[in-house]
Amino acid sequence: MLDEELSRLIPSLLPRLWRFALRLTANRHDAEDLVQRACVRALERPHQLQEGTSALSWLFSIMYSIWISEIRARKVRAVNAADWQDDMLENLPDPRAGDPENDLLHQQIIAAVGALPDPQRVVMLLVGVEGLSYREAAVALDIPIGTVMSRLARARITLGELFAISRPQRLPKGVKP
Amino acid sequence: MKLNETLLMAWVDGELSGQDAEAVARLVAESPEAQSTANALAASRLPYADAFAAETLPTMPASLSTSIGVLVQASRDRAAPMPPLTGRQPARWQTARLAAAFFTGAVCALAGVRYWQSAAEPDAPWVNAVAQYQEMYVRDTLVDVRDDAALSARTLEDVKTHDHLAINVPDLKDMHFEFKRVQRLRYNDKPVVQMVYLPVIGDPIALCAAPDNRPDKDVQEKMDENQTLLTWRSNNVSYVLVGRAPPTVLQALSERIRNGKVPPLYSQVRRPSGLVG
Repeated sequence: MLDEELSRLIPSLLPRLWRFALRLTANRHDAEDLVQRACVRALERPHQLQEGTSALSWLFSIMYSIWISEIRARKVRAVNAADWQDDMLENLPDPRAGDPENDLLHQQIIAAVGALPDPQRVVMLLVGVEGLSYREAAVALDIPIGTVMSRLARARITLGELFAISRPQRLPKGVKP
Repeated sequence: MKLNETLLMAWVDGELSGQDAEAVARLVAESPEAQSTANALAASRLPYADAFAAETLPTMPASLSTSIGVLVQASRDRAAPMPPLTGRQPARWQTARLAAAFFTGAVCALAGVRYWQSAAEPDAPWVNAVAQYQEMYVRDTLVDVRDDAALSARTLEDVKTHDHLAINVPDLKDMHFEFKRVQRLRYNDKPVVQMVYLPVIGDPIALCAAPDNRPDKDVQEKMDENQTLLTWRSNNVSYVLVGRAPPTVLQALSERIRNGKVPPLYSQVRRPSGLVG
């Protein structure tokens, strides 16, 4: 991609980069630092954006790389999965209920994804939240597609076990729950 | 066919062909463990996108938008070629050069010294001197220089005590300019303070200050084929911001410096944390 095209595209992508950075780092200052560093790197190396790769996926990949190598080590995420898990099991709403409970469900989904181990959490953010395909996520994370799917499956199993209590199971035909 | 988590996930999500789906269904029916995993995967089909879309997140800070805007502009300006003076439609740099020539007369050389000229108030000779000094700076001049915090703090103390100049060293890190050093200079026995910064891309810039008890003055901008120079006067200090950075970048920097929107890296009021005394 030409310098000029990328420099026109980056401002329009900033809101999404910001949101992804916040969710990746869970810290406002780290997120700001991450977005700045990623934009600097992207503008220094526009030739590295390969044809057929979306600029957004590429920027996500830069952000992930910087986060892993420079920012994540700054702090340990203060999440106690056991405490969170117990609270969630006591308070799971019926997802078919009205808005306040829907809001609560949304909050618990966000908390549950936030409590996943980083490799699974990042795949969930890219595929489940940002809507990247398995291939795009694999390129962004520089891992095989199979690894993306495997991490996603494990993440979903963890999440499903947490939410399974209040939701009726609907499996494909031929298997009774 | 061997059951694994990704195959079960594809099956639960309805992504397998009819034949494959039937095969998986038969295997799952025979395995309580696979059924448990499949149940969990089914229960994980949640409105993730909706949940995160509804999430209230901190607003992106204006400083981030500004600094990215500066980076993007710098990138565009770096990529834009500077055409020679021809009869074609002039590019921005060419227009600026032509305008400067029209309004200020030809840039002249006198005894090997080049002077900036302005239709408004002529600059003090020290301004020309720091501009010419800055022309000699390239990236390599400063790339390996590291700010010595103790020395910088002592220098600023000396500026206050001996040069009677009340200034701070602004922290331009948010704008991707790294502070390198502060120096006390003199021009015709007049104290001049030079603070040099290195951007992540491009050549160094300098912020210089000298005592000047004339009235405050708004920013004036000049360009030649090498550098952009901004001058202003505030609180009995004349400032010069000069370098080969794009004019828009220097304009953004000067605005933030003048409006007090950047924290002091070193202040004559307090020392940086960690220094004793």
